[in-house]
Parts: sequence; C-alpha cells; structure tokens
Amino acid sequence: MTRWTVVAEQESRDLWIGGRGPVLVFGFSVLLSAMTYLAATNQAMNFLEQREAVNLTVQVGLAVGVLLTVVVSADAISGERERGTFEALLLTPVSRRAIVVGKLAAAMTMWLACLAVTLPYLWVLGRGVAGAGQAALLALTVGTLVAVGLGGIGMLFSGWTNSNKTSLAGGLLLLLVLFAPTQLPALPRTGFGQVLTRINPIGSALHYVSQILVGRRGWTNDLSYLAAPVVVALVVVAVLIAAGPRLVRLTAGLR
Amino acid sequence: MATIEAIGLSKRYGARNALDGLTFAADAGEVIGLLGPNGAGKTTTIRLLTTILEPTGGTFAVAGVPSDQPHRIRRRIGVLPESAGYPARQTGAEYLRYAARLFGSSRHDARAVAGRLLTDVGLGDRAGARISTYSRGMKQRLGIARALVNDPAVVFLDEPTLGLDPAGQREILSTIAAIAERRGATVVLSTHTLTEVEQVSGSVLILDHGRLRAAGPLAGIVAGAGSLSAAFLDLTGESGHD
Amino acid sequence: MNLLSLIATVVMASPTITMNQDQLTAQLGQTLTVESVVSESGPAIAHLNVVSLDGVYVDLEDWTQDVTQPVPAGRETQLDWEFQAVNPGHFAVYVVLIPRSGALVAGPPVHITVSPRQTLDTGGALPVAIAVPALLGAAALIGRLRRAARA
Repeated sequence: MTRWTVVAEQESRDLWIGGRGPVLVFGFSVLLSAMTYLAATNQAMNFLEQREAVNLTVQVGLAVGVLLTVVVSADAISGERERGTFEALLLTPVSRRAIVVGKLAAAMTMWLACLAVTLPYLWVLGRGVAGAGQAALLALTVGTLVAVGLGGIGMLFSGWTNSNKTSLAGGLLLLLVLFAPTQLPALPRTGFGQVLTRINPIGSALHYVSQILVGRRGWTNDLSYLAAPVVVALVVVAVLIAAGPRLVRLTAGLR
Repeated sequence: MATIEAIGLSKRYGARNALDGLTFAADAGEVIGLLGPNGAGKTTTIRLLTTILEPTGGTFAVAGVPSDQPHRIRRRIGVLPESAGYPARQTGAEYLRYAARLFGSSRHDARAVAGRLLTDVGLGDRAGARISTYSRGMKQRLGIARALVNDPAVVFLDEPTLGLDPAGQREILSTIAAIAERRGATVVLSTHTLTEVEQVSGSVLILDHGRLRAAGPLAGIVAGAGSLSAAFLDLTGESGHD
Repeated sequence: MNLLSLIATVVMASPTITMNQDQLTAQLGQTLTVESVVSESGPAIAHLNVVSLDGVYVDLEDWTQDVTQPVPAGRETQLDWEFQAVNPGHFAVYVVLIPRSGALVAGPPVHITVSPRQTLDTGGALPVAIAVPALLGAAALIGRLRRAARA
C-alpha cells in the first residue's frame, strides 16, 4: 500500500468512525427527505414532471454534497495545525504530496457518501421514467468532477492559513459566489450570462445535468459545458501536487 | 561516530535571529541536554534538525544523512514535539499503528510494534482506550512510544516532562535513559529543568538568544561554576528552574 | 429582395399570422411546441401570450422563457414556440405581432386543454423519506454510544 493510501485510510477512519461524517450525512439525508416528500405531496409542486423532480434532487445533492466536501477539505490542514497534530505527521517520511493527495482522497469519501445517500431518493422520484439510473451516473461523473475541483480549492485555503475558521469561511464564501448565479432566472439566455454560466464550474455542471435530465439531450450535445468543471479539477489537483511541499508546512507562510 | 553534526546552523525570521551559527556534534548512545531560557532557540534547533523548518544558513547531518535529504533523515529519527497534540478520538493502539504504517510497516508489523511499545511505556492495559481519556503523563508516554515506532537512531524530545507531577517526571526520565542504553540511540533532550539534565545527560548545549553559550560534557560545565544551575545563570543571565 | 420590393411589402400588404394547429390536449407538466408563420410583415417583434379560459391566473414566465422573438422583414417567417403546461384547465395560446409602426396584429388562438395528473408517487416517497434518515441517524447514534462505552 502506498503512503498516500495509508494517509487516506486513516483520515477516512477519523472522519467516519467517531468523526463528524455520520452526523453531516444524517443532516444531508434529512434535507433530501424533506425535499422529496414535499415534491411528491405538495400540489403546487406537483406540476413537476418526474424528470424535473429527479433533476432537482441531483442538483440539491450535488450542491450540498460538494458543500460538505469543502467543509471537510477546508479542515484538512488548518484543522490539524490548530489541534497540534500536524507536526507528528510532518515528522514521518511520507512526502508532502502524499499527505495532500491522501487528505483530498479522504475528503472525497464525504462526496461519495452523499452520492450514495442520494440514490434512494433518485430511485423513488424517477421510477418508471428510466431517469434514475441516468441521474445517478450523471451525479457520479459530473458531481465527482465538481467535488474534486472545489474540495481541492478548500484544501488550498486550508494550507494557506493557520486558522480553521478562515479556511472554512473562504471555502464557503467561494461556494456561495459560485452557486448564487445559478439561482438567477434567465441567466443562460444572455451572452454575458452564458459566459458566466460556462466559466462557473457549479453553474455549468448544473446546466449540463439539466440539459440531459430535463431537456432529454444526449450526453455529448452539451459536453462543452463540462469544460469548466474539468479544467478546475485538473488545475486544482495539479496545483495541489506541485505546491504540496509549500502548502504542507507546520505553519502557513513560514519555511 | 557522530550521529548529529551541525555546522553554523542558523535560522532567521525577518530581522530576528532565532538561531545563530550553532555548531555541535553528538555521538551514538549519548543523551545530550539542550538548555536555555524561553526564546533561546531550543525548539527551533530541534525543528531544524528534524527537517520541519529549513535553515537559512549552515549545514547539518543526522544519523549520517545530510540535510538536503530530509525524507531520509525523517526515516532515522523519532521526535516528541513540544506541546504535541493528539487525535482525541483515536485509541493509543490505533495512533501507534498509524505512525508505524506511515514509516512503511505492514499492517501486521504495525500491530506488533504498537503493542510492544505500548507495553514498554506502561500503557499496555490502556491500548484500546481513546486518547481523550488519557492523563497528561500518559499522553507524554504515548508520544515517546510514537517517537520510537521506527526504531530511530536519534530521538528528539522537546520538553517531555512539561506539566507532569514528580512521579510522572521520574517515569519519563527512566524511559529516556533506557532509550539511550538499550537502543543505543542518541537522545536530544530539550528542557527547562536543570535537574533532569543532571540526572540523564552526559553532555549539554546551553543556548541563549539563538546563540550557543556552552557545549560539552556535563562534568566540565559544572566544574567551572560549581553547579549546573550556577553555570546556566552565568551563561544566560537567568535563573534555572529546578 | 431589392429595396423597392421590401418597401412595397411593408407599405402595401398587411401582415398576417397563422398557426399550425388550433386545438391541443396535454397533460400537466408536458412540454409543447406550436409553430406560427408570420406573412407579409415588415421588421417586427412577435410575442407569445397565454390566457386561461377558466379565469385562473397565468404567470407567463412559468410557461415559457421565450416570450418574444424578432421577426425580420419578409414574405414568410416561421417561428416555433416551446412552452410547458404548468396549470390544469382550458387555455388559449396566441401570438401578437408588434410592428415598428402601425397597429398590433393578433394571430388565431390555439386552444389547449391541460388535464391534471399526480406525477409523483406520494405513497412511495414517504417510506424512503423516513427510512433513510432513520437508518443513518441510528447508525451515527449507535457508533457514538459504542465508542462512549469503550472509552
């Protein structure tokens, strides 16, 4: 087993056994339950076509799942600095890059858990329209891209600061800035709005998912909308690996 | 053979010299006391020699490995950092198993090493308990066990008895002596407490304001001033704690 | 088309709007498309409108985001209108042409009957909505209790 997997395994244990992972996922399931029940019972919302209800669930699952991933990744380095446990890790022969990759992999287990929790809701809302399987596959591929990119940014924040509150606030603010434009009506219709949608990894990912689930377009028709999530994920992972030795230090900013 | 060699080791933070031109050597099986008042540069020295910080000047080698190969140095050293934090939700055994695996042990070997070290430091019966339930002394012993998980050639202990009662201090000091005697490891013991150094160290380094004030066998330093406390006071202008 | 014929089109002819159908039935939530052809028009703007024949309030934005389309000068311009039936009942959908000058021109209405339907299965959703959080909450609680007992 390579060293990054040892780090990832222990970080995952810390998150899921005795950590806050189970509580966060429980809260996530309560949110999805409330949304699913309302969508299925509320007459005002019942004009929704099944595919739209499935799409809504994927969108909420993706947005909140990525949010929780950022919460975990933003704690990865600055949290250990605050708790005083980081020095012991730095004193091992594990490379700084392996530490970063291991911690990011552990944070991604939060996204995968959220995805797993979303599946029964997709199944119950999408029964009979063959949309649930497609939605699950979309959430896995597109959501994972977004989670890697934004989770990685959360980890960059965590490496740049000694304060857990600062890295968490930075990560959540970034998510808010990226998520807010997706709630503006008719944004994709205008030229500037479309540019904003395309460069926003969350906005473009949600648009791509909608086009397939609601617009019933093919997976390849709007593939260009995945450019932003792919580029962000690749660039962030590359930066984390390249800048690993400078990020993973006892104190941010000092050498 | 010298297991630690530092030549002109320096660390600057802006205009402030945290460590200025430290030169010394230590041999295998030796317990070397690192003394100095607050801000003298003791922790900086340990963090430089353990590759946590990068020096702004000078060179060093630890366990025969030059300073430009930090990952190889980390393989050969064990460290109890100053005010080390512990993951509260892990058990003592889990904590040591993880440390052993980070040093490349297989799952099976890590389990065996963790069990043996916990017994060695007197925590065998609390191996499965969460660290949050440990007393301060137990945590320090766990930290020392962790520092030994890779069978190191050099062990750095930064204030290992801080906050412990006299019985706890005695236990830690006997553990330190055993490390040097049985394992043949060099031990660098950073402390404020002069009596601890007198009990277990064969030689001392006295730092003040980042500069080396005295280095050599304990007997030689004590002989000049009458006692270690007097020598410390003369060299640093401060009263030593005992 | 040369300039003279363009002027002649604008000055001489009055624009007309025809729809490709006059009756439609749909289920609630269904997306529909109607086609309109604007003839003998100068440059103008075409606007889609939806009215309820049962007196129900219609929020046009809920039905469609494409409520206006530009119409270039020409003999015939085909315009497609996509909208979603978001209320049950009887409705009329029609297109109005707004020329640069002159009076508005309205096209014939397309009568749409939207039948209600319950698209989502309430009975199926409730067990999942209760069971998933209950299982996860129980797992989290049991985990904490076991660790507390071990400590």
